[in-house]
Amino acid sequence: MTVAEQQLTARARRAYELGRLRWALGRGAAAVAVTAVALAVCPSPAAPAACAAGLGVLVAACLWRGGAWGRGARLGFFAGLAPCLLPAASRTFHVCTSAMCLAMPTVCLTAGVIAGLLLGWLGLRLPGHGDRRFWLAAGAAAFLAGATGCLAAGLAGLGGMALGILAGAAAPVLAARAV
Amino acid sequence: MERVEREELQRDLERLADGDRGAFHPVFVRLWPLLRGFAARCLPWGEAEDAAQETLIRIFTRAAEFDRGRDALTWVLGIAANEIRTALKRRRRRREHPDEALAGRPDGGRSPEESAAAAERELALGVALATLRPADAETLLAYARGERPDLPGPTFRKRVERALVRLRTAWRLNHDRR
Repeated sequence: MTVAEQQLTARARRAYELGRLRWALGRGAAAVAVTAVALAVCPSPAAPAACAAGLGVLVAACLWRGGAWGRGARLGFFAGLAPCLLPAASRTFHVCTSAMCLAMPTVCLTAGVIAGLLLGWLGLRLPGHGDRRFWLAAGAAAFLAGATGCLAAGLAGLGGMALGILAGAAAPVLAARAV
Repeated sequence: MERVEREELQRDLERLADGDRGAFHPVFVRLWPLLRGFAARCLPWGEAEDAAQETLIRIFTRAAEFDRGRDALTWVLGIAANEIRTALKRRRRRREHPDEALAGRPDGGRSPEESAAAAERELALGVALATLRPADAETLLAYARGERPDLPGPTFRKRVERALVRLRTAWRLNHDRR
């Protein structure tokens, strides 16, 4: 390889990394924008906003890294939309009256189970699901997306959502192992 | 480009889009001569080299966006065609300075307008030919050169007709996209 070609290779490599970073940041910002819908109806948005920001950074970093990290974060984000948006939807459509608000942890638990089922069911069908990094990224993204919606229901909501994700994901994974 | 090479480019570009840095070198090695040759068909040597470099950088910048449902070669040549079109426009603008324009003219017999139009046509034809199956492209090139492969006349004519139909479709698709 000539010197000129070596320089061109270095330039191309830099362009690839920068282009990838720009692309990943755009996707991270889009993820934040989607989860921001949950913040709009949240009574105390500071902590959920921090979760949304964390989700944006996580999605951007995983997509930039690519491979199992990227696939996992993508799946985790989509699965996490259920616990992110369901509590907000229940508030918006006035399901959350003063009495019903006590049941918000239940909404989060149910949404968590849906997210977990999606994670387990879809994750097992994606390439590279045997990779630990895939599940780490998926779990973290689902948790942060869910926390953006469920943190408004207090720690009970957050705990319920986390429990739901674990229980929901365990079902298809255990079923697949049993076969 | 042969079918095997084309499939390898597709696979490597998909890996690169997925974030597999190991696919960088194979993609670079495969694309650089292809882009240089493609640009050299429409631009004089120095400008072709610059345009090929810019195309290569642009392809790597946009590699993460590559959609695995698309054909890699068509995607690459689309970017190359845009880059060459930009270089041709730049040349046309430079015609306002006659000294530079004369120095850069690849064909002394043609007017700048004719050269630019011919280069545009050649570029569009190159893109359309590159998207055809290698056998179709070879048949058409042999026909254009007046060569007759070792085939019975009617068979060759049929092949030319079929390849022309496919070329027309590819040309139309390329023009509709613009």
